[in-house]
Amino acid sequence: MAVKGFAKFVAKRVLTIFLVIVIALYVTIFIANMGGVVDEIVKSTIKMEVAMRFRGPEWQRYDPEEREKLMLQEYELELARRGLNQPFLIRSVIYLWNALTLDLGRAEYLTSDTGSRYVRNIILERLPTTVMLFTTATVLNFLINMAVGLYLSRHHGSKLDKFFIGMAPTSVIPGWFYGIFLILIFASQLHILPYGGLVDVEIVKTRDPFLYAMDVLKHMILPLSSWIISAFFLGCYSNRTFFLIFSTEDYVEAARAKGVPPRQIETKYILRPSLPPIITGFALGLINSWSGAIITERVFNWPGLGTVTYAAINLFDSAVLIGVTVIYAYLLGATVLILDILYGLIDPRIKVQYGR
Amino acid sequence: MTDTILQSRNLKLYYATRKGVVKAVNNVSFDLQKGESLALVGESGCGKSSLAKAIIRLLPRNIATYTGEVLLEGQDIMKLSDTQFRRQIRWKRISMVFQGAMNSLNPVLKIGYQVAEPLLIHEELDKKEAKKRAVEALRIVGIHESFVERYPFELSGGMKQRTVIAMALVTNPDILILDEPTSALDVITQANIMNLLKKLKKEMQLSYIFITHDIGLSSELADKVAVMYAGEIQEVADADTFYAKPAHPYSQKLMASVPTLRTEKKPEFIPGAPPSLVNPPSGCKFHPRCPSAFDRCSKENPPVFDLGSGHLVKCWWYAK
Amino acid sequence: MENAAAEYSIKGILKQLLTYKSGVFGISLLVLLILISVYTMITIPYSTAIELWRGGENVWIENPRNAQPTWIRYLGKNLPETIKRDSTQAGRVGTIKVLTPIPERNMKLLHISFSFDYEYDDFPSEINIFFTSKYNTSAPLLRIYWIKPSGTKINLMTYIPRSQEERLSLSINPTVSNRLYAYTVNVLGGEPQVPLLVEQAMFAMEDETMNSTLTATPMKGKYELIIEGTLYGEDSDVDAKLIVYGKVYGLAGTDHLRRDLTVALLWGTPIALSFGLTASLTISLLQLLIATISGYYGGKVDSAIQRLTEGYMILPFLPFLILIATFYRLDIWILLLVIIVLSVFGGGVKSTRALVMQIKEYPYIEAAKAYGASSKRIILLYIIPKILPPIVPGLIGSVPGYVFLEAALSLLGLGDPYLPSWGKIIEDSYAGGALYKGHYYWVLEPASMLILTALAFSFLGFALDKIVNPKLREV
Repeated sequence: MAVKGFAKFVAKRVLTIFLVIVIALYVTIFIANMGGVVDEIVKSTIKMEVAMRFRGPEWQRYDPEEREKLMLQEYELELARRGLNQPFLIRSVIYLWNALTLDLGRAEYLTSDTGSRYVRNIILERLPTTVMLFTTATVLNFLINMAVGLYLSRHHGSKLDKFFIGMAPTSVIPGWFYGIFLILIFASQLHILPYGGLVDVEIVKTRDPFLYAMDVLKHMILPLSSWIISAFFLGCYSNRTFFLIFSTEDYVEAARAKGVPPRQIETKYILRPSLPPIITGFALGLINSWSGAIITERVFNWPGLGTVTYAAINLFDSAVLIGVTVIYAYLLGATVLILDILYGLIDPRIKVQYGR
Repeated sequence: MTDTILQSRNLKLYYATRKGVVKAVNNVSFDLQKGESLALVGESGCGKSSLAKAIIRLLPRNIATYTGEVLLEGQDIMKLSDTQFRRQIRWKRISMVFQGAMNSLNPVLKIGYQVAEPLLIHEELDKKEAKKRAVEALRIVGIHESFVERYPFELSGGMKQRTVIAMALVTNPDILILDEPTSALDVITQANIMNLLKKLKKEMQLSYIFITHDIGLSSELADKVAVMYAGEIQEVADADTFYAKPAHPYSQKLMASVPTLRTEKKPEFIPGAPPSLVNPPSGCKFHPRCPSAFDRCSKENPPVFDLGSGHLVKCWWYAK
Repeated sequence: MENAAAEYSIKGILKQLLTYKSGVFGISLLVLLILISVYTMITIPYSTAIELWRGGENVWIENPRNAQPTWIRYLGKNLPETIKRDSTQAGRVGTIKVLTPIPERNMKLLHISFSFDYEYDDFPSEINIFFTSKYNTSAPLLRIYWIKPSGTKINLMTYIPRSQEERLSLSINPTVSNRLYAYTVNVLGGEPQVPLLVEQAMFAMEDETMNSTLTATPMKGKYELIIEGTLYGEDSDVDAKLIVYGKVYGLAGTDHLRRDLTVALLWGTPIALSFGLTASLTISLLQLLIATISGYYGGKVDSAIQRLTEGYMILPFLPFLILIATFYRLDIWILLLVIIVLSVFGGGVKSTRALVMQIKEYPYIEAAKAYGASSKRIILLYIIPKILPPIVPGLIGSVPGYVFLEAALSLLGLGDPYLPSWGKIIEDSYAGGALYKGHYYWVLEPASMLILTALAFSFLGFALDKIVNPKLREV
């Protein structure tokens, strides 16, 4: 019974989030095509595909002019076949479908590491590096801030606690900004950590997976640290305040009166009820990290979505930029969905509401 | 005289705040007999809840002073360490029903578990046994067994209040402190709970410390009444004596402020605001608002005068 | 809460602010930044700033490239400043120009001598001579000599200006380079390990240290540059300007285009302040309005607005912004508008709405409704004044976020194409490899300004939060 109810809850969330993604993609297409950008991308992609078809040896016999004419005909036919000679309103729906199915067309300048010019390949190739770095950063932040926050709430009013309160405002400085300083200190001055990138060329040559992994870790130290430093004081401070507020709830007082041992009060009466908002906080952190990734990757030259974005901006590779936005819409949607499900598993109110 | 179960002697509880030291409980002494119910009445902010917290030792972090004696059947429980206190006193001997009982239940734990929890902690019963006793306790307060698996948000206000009472009773304590147990409930539910409390007291031989700002409500349950003002107890008397002839001017004012149905008398109000507990007035704390105050009242803090048969009052008027 | 209203007078808040260390810190920083802004806008008007910043090399030609700020000398080596000598100002210290006509041959003999004392611990960064020549028949023939404090005289080159205005860059001139190499070989009695750069050879001690660029040290003392020449024609004339570019410049140093960074650092202040404040203020107020409408009217309006805010949470804010900024090349104020539109249904709406829901239930609002006040009146006179104070700390505290957003966009190459902003300097420095090449000042200066601004608002926001939300004081 409860399982069925929960499935209903998940289905409802999937639908809502999917709807938002559809809207986001449509807005993307709308914005991008104000200057006919999407039209151009699609047309050049089709042109390329048609040209490929005419590359075979059987076409070599034709007179070049003749072949050109045939190609143009074929191209027009293809346009009509895909409904792209229709007014924008209809075209935009076709584009929307393409975007939803990740049919993102061809890049104008950029290629993937494997040499593909398809935007989907370029982006999907980079997505894992971004997800790896920033999920790690968010999880680390989350754990560190929780642990320190809990410690501070236990020792609230202490010198350390006051220090954290005092330092909390420094967290307005974003991670990428701290990154610049970290590079300056650890790469430029001390030469003990790399300026950026994912892995050393020399290491790649060794083809040793262990060395490779260790080198990637080494390259992750500075970007991770920059995010941890940036979030540290405010994160710990707000968790601390959050726990303190939750520990003044009447039921915590009642549990204390009941004689519940302090450990259990912390886990059952403070942490457990505060989990839903904490999960929300984590979700927001993850979402922020995806966006922040673009700039942090630029600073650390980390070969992920952000670096692709930066390259696309500089080369004015519109197809890639649109593709990045599409992937981001999916990424954010998926994040929110996963955390929604987690939320539902934890909050009895949702369990009960859909379970009975 | 019956046996005295709880005695408080010169109990003090001060808090340190940004504005200064708050003297929430100041030299409070009283006796509670076995099976007796003591009503602790006073305006909000007079230190009633702090007194309850001082007895069950549930203290905030900003404690400045916490001294005096609290004797439970002759044993000074102030001398116990925190762990000893938690293990031996809380819920085993003294339970409490909190102000705002609506929020006294953890929103993410099931009702049954929360009621059974004290048993798991104090009596180290196995889960099955504890659940059986929890069901029993819930039955006593009138909640059906099927609610054991429910979460608090599925219950009405009255049911939550009953659950909290069941939670307090499950370990068979001697003393139950009730801190405004009905203030958030509607009148009908309030009456139901009051009847439940009366029944429980009779059946289970409980002693109550019943904290309320509602002097009318207190009359339903009280055997003895203690009036608190500015962190001090101003008057203690048998309920009958108190309601018939309150001795302290403040008590008289309190009584007069209760609207009555059958007489023509208009309810009076007490002029002025409750005193600050940081900078209380000199002398008798009530003198700035007292209609019968005279010179001495503003200069010296009055001692407690015994008017006979345990009627105690802290007012210079009785010095003569 | 009743007497809280009294605390919300500006004077009252200011008084309370000053009781918090963070408040005092925030306010003093903010006052400093405002003073800088005012000073900047008065001394360097907007148009001048743009002209200076976009003017290209001609405006800044006499500045060294990538020079550090002058005060850096107090921390370490005595780095050289830029030395200028101009023959049009003959008679000034170290400047001599003699023009001797030889009427019978319709010729003139030119002698220009520039001399200066060089007491620095490091070599100059670059040496240029700018010639202004007047001639009609044939171009003048100039010989350039260099005399070191030791008395060594080096014939640098023979030079014939081909146009009226000409720049001779000694540092990259192959003839000069060759002559100086020969001179080095002569001093060392053999080939040097690492040949010295032109400006190094010209200023180096004449001993074995000339063996390598790493060991060479400048010789201190009086240097002289002599230009001797033969001019043809009646009204022919040649003037020269020698610039020995230093390694330090002004208060803030220069960038890769020789631009004085003070201009951008100063102008960055009013830009950052106005950008951050406008963004934060507009977004907060719009969110406040939306939240109030949502909370007050409830029902369908409310649920529509709520769904919209939930949807907004999933929208890829930054990619959208990047997309728009790239495709439409926005200036900073349009960018601001886009940011506002993209943030209007942000997280603030939800928390403010919760506040409105609480206040809506207050008896005096019920009373106002009962005596027939219009909804508009209730919202404007009763609800908004009540929820304004709690959102002010958030408003102040979110200013740095927008300032950094502008910097981040600049770093991605999407900043305003004309305005000098701190983010632009960081972008330039990053593109110029400042961190690899050790031009730390180039990054650190705009970074410090950004940090100062961020901390000013952040500390102020935190202090205000403690005042407006007294609950925080207790925990």
